[in-house]
Amino acid sequence: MHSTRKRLIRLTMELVLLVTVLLVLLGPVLSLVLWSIAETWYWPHALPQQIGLQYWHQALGIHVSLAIGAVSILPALLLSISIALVTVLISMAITIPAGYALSKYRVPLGGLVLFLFLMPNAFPQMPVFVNLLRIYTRIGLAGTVPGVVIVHMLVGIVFGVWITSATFKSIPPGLQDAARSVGATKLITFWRITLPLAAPGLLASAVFVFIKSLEEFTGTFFVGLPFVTTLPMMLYSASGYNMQFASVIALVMLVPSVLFMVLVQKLLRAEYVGGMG
Amino acid sequence: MADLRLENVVKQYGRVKAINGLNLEVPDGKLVTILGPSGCGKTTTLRCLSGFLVPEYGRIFVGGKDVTEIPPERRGIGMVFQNYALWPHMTVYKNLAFGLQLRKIHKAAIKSKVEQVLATVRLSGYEDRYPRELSGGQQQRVALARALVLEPEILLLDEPLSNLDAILREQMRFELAQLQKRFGITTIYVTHDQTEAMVISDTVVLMNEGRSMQQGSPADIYRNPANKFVAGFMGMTNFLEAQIVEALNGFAKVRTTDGLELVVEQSVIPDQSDVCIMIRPEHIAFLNETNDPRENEEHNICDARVTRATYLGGTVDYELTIGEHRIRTLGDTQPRYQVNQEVRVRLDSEQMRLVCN
Repeated sequence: MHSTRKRLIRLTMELVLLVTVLLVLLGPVLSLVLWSIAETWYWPHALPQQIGLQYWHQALGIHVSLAIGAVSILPALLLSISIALVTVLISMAITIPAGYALSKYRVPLGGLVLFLFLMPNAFPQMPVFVNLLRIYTRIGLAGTVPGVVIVHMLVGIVFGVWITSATFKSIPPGLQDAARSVGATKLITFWRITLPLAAPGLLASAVFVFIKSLEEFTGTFFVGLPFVTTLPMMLYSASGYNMQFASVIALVMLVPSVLFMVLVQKLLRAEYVGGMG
Repeated sequence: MADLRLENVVKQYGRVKAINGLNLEVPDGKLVTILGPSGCGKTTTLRCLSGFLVPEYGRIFVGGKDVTEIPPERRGIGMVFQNYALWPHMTVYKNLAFGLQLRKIHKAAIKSKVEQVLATVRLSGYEDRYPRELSGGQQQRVALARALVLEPEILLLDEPLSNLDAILREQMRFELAQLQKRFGITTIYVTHDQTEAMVISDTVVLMNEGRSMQQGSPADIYRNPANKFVAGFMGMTNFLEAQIVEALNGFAKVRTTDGLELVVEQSVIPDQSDVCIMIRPEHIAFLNETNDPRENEEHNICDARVTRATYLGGTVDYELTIGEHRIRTLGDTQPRYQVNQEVRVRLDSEQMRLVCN
């Protein structure tokens, strides 16, 4: 009797917790979904009076009409993903060697280097970017894609370097020594031992930089507009006047992040998590 | 196979000399243990041997060839690491095959070599396991197999048993010693455990503060320690501060600081008057009930009082007070003597040694 009651209480509490968590996590997304399909929704109704995929069709470029104030977001989406991928590639090309060097060798002023990477994030972003815009205008990078990529790198690279150097540091040096002792040169040791073991951390940092770039707003706003319109720029301009269109963009923005995460998790599980101690 | 020789090796970090003029010779096929407390320079010595460190002075020869500045990957020296250092992203098979693949050996040959070595360390059938799926003892054997599969001329073992539990450690000692004899690989074994060193070594090198204190067979080092440090490190020992009163041929009459007169038989008497008498617990005999024929000898018999008796199962660990000295000794299973009991003991004059600091 007593234990049944206890179990009942526990079950209730678990249910309450589950519902709360779901509401907190999925509530906003649910609201976005609702807004994105609401074709008519007047106050004080709790639910839309008319639903349909009109805004989705417009946003995805299936129909083109000027009546509902929505345009195709495909060019902006493509641009955002391209910028994010390029940012990831360049960032990793910098962060892997930098993180490795910082973890492995006693780099003179290594702490200072890490701190410098942190600097763009240590100041309020607005004044930094306003200044950057002035510099960009002088050297012709304002309103260009390379200019935006550089801004995204400034934002993301600090986390990249910190995560990569921590990852390399976490690999016991004995594993590399063991490889040398069986005949592997330093280079082979790096490729066959260090890099595979660091892969989970490196991928995590790549995901981080990717998502940071995809959602980057402030920097792009200052140095990119009006010529470089990424998805967040579009969301910003839509959110002022068109809730449905904004919801569609917001949901679309979730997709690459989720896909990227799923992909990385798959990679991690198959290749490395199985082998990790 | 090859012999190994270190000549006057010095390795320093900044102004600290981690190794300070080490000479060492390991004959072909022998097992030499480098024994010493932490910080004595044994790990540094091992890293110089394996090529991860290059000494400032001195030379290292393998089979007569100077290898002092050859990097680790070209030394052909097998190594077993303290925490095994198995690659966690590779199966047992891949761990063993890695070194062979780098040598561009044919796939079929790799397979047969790996299988053969795995059988030797009794791990056949474990090829597809990941290191984390193995017990500590199994990981240890994989680490050993990984070094052996390359058929190295020299094998270095860095405290290979220190991460195992006591029972497994004892078992692995004998197994390691057997394998080493079977393969006949010249082996350097680094440990801080003197029992381990006693069990497996042909020769023990006792190091302290970057220097070799003594080199010799386990029995020789145990019985004839070169100095107080060696005596204290090789098993439980009592020390009595004393002065040499009279030195004869093979004998010495000494007087301890509290006035006890003892006779020590020793072929070479130290050439200084202030010495330390070393006597091991097993060389102190109780005289109360035994009819020892030498009981009537007048020297080295003294009165003592039991100040502590600890029952250890197989033996009883006694602490005796003799004059001002406290001395540890061992009695047989029966807890025969009580605390505060007055006893008579004889210190074995043949087994006592005079050592210098």
